[in-house]
Amino acid sequence: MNQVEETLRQEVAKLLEDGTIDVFVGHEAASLPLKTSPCFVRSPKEVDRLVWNRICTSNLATYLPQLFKRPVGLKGEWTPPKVGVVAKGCDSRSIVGLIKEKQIPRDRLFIIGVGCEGMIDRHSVGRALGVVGLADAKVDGNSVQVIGTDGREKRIDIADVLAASCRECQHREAVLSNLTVGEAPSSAPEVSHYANVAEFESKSPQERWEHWVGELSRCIRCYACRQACPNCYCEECFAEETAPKWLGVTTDLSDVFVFHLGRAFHQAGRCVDCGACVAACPQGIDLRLLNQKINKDVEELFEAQVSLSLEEAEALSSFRMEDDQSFMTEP
Amino acid sequence: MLEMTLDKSKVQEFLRLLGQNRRLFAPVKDRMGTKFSEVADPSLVCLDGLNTNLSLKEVVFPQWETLYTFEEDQANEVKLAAQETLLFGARPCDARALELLDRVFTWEGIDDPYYLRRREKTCVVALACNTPGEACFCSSVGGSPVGEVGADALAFDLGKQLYLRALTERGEALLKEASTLTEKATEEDKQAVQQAAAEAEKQLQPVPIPEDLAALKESFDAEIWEDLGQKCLGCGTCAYVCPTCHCFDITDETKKGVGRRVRSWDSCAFSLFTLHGSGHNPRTTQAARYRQRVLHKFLYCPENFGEAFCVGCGRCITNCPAGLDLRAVLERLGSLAKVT
Ligand code: SF4
Ligand code: SF4
Ligand code: SF4
Ligand code: SF4
Ligand code: SF4
Repeated sequence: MNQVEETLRQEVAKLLEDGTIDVFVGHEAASLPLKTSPCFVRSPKEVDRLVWNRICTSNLATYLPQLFKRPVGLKGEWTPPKVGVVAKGCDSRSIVGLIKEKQIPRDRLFIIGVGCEGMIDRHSVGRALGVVGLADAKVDGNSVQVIGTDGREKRIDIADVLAASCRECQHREAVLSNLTVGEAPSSAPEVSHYANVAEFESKSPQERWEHWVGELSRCIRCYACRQACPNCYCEECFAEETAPKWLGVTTDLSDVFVFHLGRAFHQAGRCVDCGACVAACPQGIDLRLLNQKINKDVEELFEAQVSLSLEEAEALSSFRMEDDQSFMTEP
Repeated sequence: MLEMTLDKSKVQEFLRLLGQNRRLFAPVKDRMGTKFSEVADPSLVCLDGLNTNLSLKEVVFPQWETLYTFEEDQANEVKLAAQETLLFGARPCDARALELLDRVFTWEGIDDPYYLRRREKTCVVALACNTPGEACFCSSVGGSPVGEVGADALAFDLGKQLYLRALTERGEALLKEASTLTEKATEEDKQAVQQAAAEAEKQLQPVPIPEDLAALKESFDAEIWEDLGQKCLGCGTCAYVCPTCHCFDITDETKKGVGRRVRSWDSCAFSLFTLHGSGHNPRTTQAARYRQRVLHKFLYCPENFGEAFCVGCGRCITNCPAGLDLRAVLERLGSLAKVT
């Protein structure tokens, strides 16, 4: 057990014992190697389920809004629970966003911030293995020792299988917390911010089109990307609305494009680049490129990044006289 | 039954020959391991992977299809012609899943013409597994890494050659088409096959499957569902990658009086799955939806079709973004079933 994990468990036990929180949302080990699962701890006796490691990839903010929803059909009084959550930089920014969008109440949240050195992308490990599966893996310092289902062993540098979002992450510590655990993260981002977008922008329109046709023809409309995204909390998504019906149910490119472009626009000025959509996709589609393009535009047009504090107004939900207006057309 | 061997250097030629008169589907390399896809060029076929990341149900039960088209008040049938199709290198779990899907789409004597038109033209050559994947548990749910159910022929990878065994008349006819390339299997080959089969079965970890249906019924209000359901994100991944999940939705798409009626995959994990026109939703929580997925497979299907609708392919486990593992769920359910 590492130091952070130990302290985290102790702190959570205390919070549950003294009634500061009713439930804590963290990560626990999953049965497959290099995978964790979100975990809801309600008693101090259960804190040993909590883990902290290089595979705590899920953005836990996604699980918060549902905890504050009044159970359907419940009669009489209901008090929303007091919820604790462990947050990396990205989780904390999503939490800030959700608080500002009034999906979760700040005063019923206890956030434990943890500095993050970046999470391993399981898909990248899979790609390093080729067509065989991952039988076992052990993270050891800056590398991970993997064993394929064919019995072959391989040592991989974590730097080579880091999630793309983590590679470029500029906010590795929680931007909002009640308590922080562990040391400040050491490593600085390796790759310059928006490197992927810049590269994509340098391509010809034809190449860009071909790229997305290739990517989106893989999409099976499972909506894992949307469901894993903390910003996609809508009770009824536009993709499934029937009146009006914005898109069809097929995997025809036109339907798939409308879904992904629509979702990307709904993320404008809201996406914190946590990479949850990319990690969730069973087809390995890099949706991040789409959202990062919009993030880059927001940053360039409004000199603002998404959800860095509770106080500052978000770029797309506020208006300043000096805001860029070049995109406006004459009425 | 016909038993033969094919030198591995001739696999491409073999597939080219068989692919002349039919559509050929086989595993090819993909960024997610391998995928089952239609192949024009047999040199792309990859038989070294685990089961494909997506199942092969798409071939007989596509993600979406047009049932009929309409114009004002006039409906037009779609032609139900399908081409002869060969599924080569399907893993035994996937082949068995086809046999389960058959039961749904012919349930109580009602045939689904859309499914059957493809299925009836489909010939399956399964490839036995020498090394199971990390989440495989076929042998615990009545299957086997060398299982024959649902296949017309079964192949074994013996290193330098493929051993092929016809299982049905259709399989025998198929193999005969390529008899110029194959040789009769020797006693030695047959022994090698038996050994490979024993080896493969040994590698699988047994998973206890709750078979006491009455006890499973009792579990309906158990805490385990809330416990697991709170992790579930409510996506369609597990159902869409599952070779036996078969729920679909029917939608009309109209533009200025002209339109089509489309059927498309659906998943019980979606919150809209049971939403009524009135706005009422009988499954209000993700826990109820997750319970439906598991109980449908392990309680309602045994009641309706005499067998659990899970072939142990492990896809829902490797792909679940919330790290939910059906094997662990079954284990917990099993212990629950024993106590109650
Ligand atoms: S894609 Fe848009 S409508 Fe759908 S859930 Fe996300 S934010 Fe809501
Ligand atoms: S998770 Fe991937 S396959 Fe599923 S809808 Fe999103 S992009 Fe498509
Ligand atoms: S579940 Fe069994 S048959 Fe299917 S791929 Fe795994 S070992 Fe092979
Ligand atoms: S894949 Fe996992 S998260 Fe998605 S619906 Fe299935 S169990 Fe829930
Ligand atoms: S339930 Fe899971 S393991 Fe069983 S057949 Fe479906 S995808 Fe495979």
